[in-house]
Amino acid sequence: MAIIMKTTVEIEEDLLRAAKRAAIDRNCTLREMIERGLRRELAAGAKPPAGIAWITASGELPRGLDLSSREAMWEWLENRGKNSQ
Amino acid sequence: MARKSRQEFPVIAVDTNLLLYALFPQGAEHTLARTALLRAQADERGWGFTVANASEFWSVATRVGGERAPATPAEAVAFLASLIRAGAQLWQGQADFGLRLLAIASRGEILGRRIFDLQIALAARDNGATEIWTHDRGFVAVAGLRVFDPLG
Repeated sequence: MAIIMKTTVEIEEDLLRAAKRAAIDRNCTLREMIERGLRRELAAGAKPPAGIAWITASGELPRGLDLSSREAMWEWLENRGKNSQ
Repeated sequence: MARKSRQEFPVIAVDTNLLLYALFPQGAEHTLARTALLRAQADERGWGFTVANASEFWSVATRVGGERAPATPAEAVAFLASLIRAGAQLWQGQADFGLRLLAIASRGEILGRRIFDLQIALAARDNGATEIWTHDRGFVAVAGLRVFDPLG
């Protein structure tokens, strides 16, 4: 489990107010907002990511599988399971 | 100094169907999904998908049901790993995720399997996403998360 530490920082008033409003909009805490920002800033300083090395499946998408609806996709998963038992 | 709006800090979440279309070479959606993922990857705003998306992707891609699985586990993990190496983040919900999920589901009267939309949307938003790219025709989002269909 991560150790939580207290710290004090000075933040520009407008930025702090905007962050508090955004936290309310997103139903999260100001602390979570600050942590995300720090993580993103740290990630941005890391080496640039590679391009996508595409992997293609050897098989095919099953017939009857509708990916344009999560409900349909789950229905397919459940029915497919029954059919294979 | 001008106040920045939250739209200046968006992150793109990609949904399960885009991942699956991009893995399987059949259909017009395949090329469109790969183009969408490349757009997300090139976007300075950052991108990612949730653990729930990865689990759904795995469920469909490696599903065995009377014939061989559409994709092997090696192909499925290599595909996801390639996206992560290309900068995609893999997200989990933050503090009190489960309780918040159930509270929002209850308030929003989310029914049946649409809880999985909510699970994905909330975890993505927890990690700073302000947009979710999906080809789902009925995706249930949460406040602060814009739904965009890059295949539409």
